[in-house]
Amino acid sequence: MSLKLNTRDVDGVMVITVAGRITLGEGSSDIRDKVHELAANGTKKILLNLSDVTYIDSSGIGELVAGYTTMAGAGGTLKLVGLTNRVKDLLQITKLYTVFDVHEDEAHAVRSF
Amino acid sequence: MKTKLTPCAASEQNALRPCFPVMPDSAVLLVETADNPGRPETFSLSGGEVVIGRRTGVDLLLTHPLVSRRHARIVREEQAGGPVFVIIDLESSHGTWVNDARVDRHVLRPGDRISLGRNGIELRFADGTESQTGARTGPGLLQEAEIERAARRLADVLPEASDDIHSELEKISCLLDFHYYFGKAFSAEKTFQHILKSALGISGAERAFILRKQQGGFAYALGLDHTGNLLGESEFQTSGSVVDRVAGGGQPVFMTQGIHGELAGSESIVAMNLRAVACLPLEALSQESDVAVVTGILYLDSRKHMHSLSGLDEKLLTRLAGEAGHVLEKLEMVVTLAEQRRIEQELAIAEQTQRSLLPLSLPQAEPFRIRAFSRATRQLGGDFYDFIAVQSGELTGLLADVSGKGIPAALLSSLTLGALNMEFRSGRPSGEVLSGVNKLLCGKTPAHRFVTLFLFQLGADGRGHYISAGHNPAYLFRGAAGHVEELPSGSLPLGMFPFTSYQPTPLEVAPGDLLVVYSDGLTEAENGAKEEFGEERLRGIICEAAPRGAEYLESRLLSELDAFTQGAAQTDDITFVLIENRA
Repeated sequence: MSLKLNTRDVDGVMVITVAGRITLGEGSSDIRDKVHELAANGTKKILLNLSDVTYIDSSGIGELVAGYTTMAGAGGTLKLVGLTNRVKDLLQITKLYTVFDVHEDEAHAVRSF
Repeated sequence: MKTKLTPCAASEQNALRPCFPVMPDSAVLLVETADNPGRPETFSLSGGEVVIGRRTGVDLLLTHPLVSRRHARIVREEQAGGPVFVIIDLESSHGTWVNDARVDRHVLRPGDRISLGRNGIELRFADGTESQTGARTGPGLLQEAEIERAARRLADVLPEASDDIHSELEKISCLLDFHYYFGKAFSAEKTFQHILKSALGISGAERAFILRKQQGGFAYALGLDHTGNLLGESEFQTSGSVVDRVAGGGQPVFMTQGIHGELAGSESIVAMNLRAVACLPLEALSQESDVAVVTGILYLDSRKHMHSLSGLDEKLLTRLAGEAGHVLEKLEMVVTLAEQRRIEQELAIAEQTQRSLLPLSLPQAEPFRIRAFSRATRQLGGDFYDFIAVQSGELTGLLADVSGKGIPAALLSSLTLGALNMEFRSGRPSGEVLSGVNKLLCGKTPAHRFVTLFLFQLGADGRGHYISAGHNPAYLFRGAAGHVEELPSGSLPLGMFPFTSYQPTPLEVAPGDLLVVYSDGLTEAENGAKEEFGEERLRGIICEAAPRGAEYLESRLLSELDAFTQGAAQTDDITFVLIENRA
């Protein structure tokens, strides 16, 4: 299954719901491209909802980081919500949980911006 | 299918070879069968892994009753003495035999005779210099065999020839010519030339063309006249109305005794003053479905009458067109294969670049016993390890995993290793070294490319430190306590954020202790059921095998890994470094 992205505006926060596998090759640059596009259009608040991500590899982690740095560079913020255990483990191992603002539920995450 | 054994000379050669399996960078399998006695086919082992079996989808397809569907695989492994090739039996029914001994796993030496099934099909392992027929990749080998089979099928129509013996003999000789050249000299032009020659011989037409389907219509592929002269593209002229009719309906048109019906009045027929036309579709099965699609046209015409074609002649021509269609299909594949080979060659160069990053030998650093292992995936991955000579004389080693695969990963590996060596040469402490490398990588690579790295520095007393830059935890086996401790990452991967700082964590590898640094390709190696090797299994093996030393642990890890994966395709590089304190 390839990656599916769904973007909607929730109270001024662009919520991107990501479904599928974030891995090398399978539409792996989609997230990066989407964030780039939103940032270019002036979006400052992005929330990535990853609860439907079935698998992520290190290239996928790279995509999340690219999204984060793109937003930081554009003076915006990118946060994460709905991490599966696999994503949590990888963020833990790579120490990236110290970088990302991670939330448990979407409504709470949207309010945190 | 009968097979012939390779000459026994191989074993004599074996005696002259060094016992230690030092291998050159390339190696080949020589495959000799009844179809090519005395002229073994060469199968290159330059890829990362080669699976041999008799089911399609393997890398080297060998049809023989003793060969299992997935019989054995050959992998290239980096060992301390240099790269070696290892054959691993995939639980085949009749076993894998090397020099007449049944093996599960065997490090190959030049001259080794590999038999699939006892006295079954035999292959000889040789270094790359022994290639006699020019190294070929697997698909190329199969390709030719397939083409030969196709040519043989063509000859099957011959026994039907019966009515006019003399002219039939001519036709047969045309077909045999075709067969001969088809098998021996497979090039697009030559093959088409012989198809056309045969078609002219059978039909008695003056001119013959093969047209290939291209975007928007049919274009000239090759032309020949009845005297054997090639007709160039400038002389290319066919009756458009006939071609359209065949292309549209997929049915052949035979008008050998004058043009009649609606075509008689067609402009092109009149303008070319044609008396006879035969036009047949060249068909191939489409990739998506089993429906035949017209991929080309065999077009014959004459300003005189052609031979009066009997039912058999039409059948022969149709058969010829069928085979020509087959050739067109193969040509498409050959083009794709040529492209594929070019990419493979590029990858091989990148792979060599990356392999050259691995140290040729492991350092001698008393009291430590060091083992290192790396097995790349066939798709170029991004693991590497290295030992760096530092001014303080401390043992300095590192293992890194670069995100992504392929050429970008190989380049990032090179860049990282170059930067590490350069920064260490400055004599700065390792934390500052990593900060410097991180800044450089951040500046040179996009944020989605990064490197996780585990670095350790140990003095002769076993004391030192480690820094893990987002790398999966290393394991430290404590000899005295008999348990395994985890060394987690304390900082972010390299190449993500320019201002990350890298702080060393104290580490002591005491006498009897054994440090295991690995990449996640080891714990995430999968078996056929998509289960992962896992950290628990790894820790269990370490606890059990580490007390017997680094070498024993290495061989146990490899055999446990092979037993677990059962030949399932490797999806990520597997790399580990073992440091044992033997004081």
